[in-house]
Amino acid sequence: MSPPSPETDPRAFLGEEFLTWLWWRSETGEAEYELPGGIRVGVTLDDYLSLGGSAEETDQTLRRGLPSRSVEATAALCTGKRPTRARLILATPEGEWNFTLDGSRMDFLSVKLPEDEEDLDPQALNEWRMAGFDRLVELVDGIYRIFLEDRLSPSFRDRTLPRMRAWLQARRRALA
Amino acid sequence: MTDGRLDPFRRNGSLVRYFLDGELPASDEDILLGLHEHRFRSIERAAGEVTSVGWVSPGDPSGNEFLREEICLPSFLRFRMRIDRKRVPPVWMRIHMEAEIKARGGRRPGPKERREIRADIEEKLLPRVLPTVRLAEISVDRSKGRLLLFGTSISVRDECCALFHKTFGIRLREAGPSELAESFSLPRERLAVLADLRPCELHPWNSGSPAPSSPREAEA
Repeated sequence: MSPPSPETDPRAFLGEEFLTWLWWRSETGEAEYELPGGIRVGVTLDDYLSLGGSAEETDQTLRRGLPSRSVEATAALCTGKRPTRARLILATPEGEWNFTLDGSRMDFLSVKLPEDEEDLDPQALNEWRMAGFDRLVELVDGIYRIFLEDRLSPSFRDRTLPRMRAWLQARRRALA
Repeated sequence: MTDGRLDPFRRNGSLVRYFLDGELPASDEDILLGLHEHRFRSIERAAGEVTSVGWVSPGDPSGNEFLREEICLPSFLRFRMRIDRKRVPPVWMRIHMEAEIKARGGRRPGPKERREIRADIEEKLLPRVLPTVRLAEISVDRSKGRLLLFGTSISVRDECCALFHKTFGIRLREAGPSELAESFSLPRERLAVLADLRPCELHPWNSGSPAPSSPREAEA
């Protein structure tokens, strides 16, 4: 059985829309999410952003500094490109994860875990790190669920999408 | 005990996650037995085999030993998939091919003859070639039915899915955007929307509707 791929997953675009939604929220003062159990998580874009469109279009990769604030990123969004991969910082009271999320596959690339807890024996250190990767996956899934609830709700087209468009429009005007 | 031979689990890395389409054996013994049955087997001295894939334990990359205390941790299972590939380096193949053609009188061989020469060269050289070794770390949370594979190339994904199925009779479903969405037990009306969902157009000047001139206008 071949694994689903962006070519075979009919809704692979959802992952890219998720990245766009995270980006929009991080720039409009809504970078914090409350997950079940009262866990508060903050997400911001870091220093790597790749934007693309259809398979025939050229991808654009922006690195260093704050690519999400760049003129190039705005221009790419305005031509219909979407973030395909973004480096994210996910912060909780437990610690900070740094990773690149591939939108169309939801793969976690170049993950850096929070600092190790001190004075752990080798076995406990292994478990601590494995739990760190597992925790990251759960936190991102929790935020993806919040995104889906918004994206699949009737209010998305009437409320969220116009606000995202206004955000892009404002960025576009700033180019002029 | 692990007597210090065990590599600590990585702090960095890239990963793919899968849902298990079934339940793993509850007993650690059965898990260890399954891993051992489909353990890695060396192709170092093999003449014909070009790829070998199998499980190894975190502390023994040879595939000979599967210690419970290394693999069955309180919250996770930890093991590795080893993939060895043997291939005659292309430069060597070219050198030997040219020498063989010269020995046969210098006439350029046809495709069939060329394939036969290639097979002969491989048979002669492969036992002398060391395989490339690839180890992919795997962590499984049995209670959540989730597997994390620390390797993202298509070949590693495919090998892992195939070997896992062969070992435990369980299919792995990659948790991409669709699979994840369907795993959340969303309300029925949301799932109905999901079924027919199309990408949304973010840039309003392409969507036919007038763009709001400000965030305030968009709110209104």
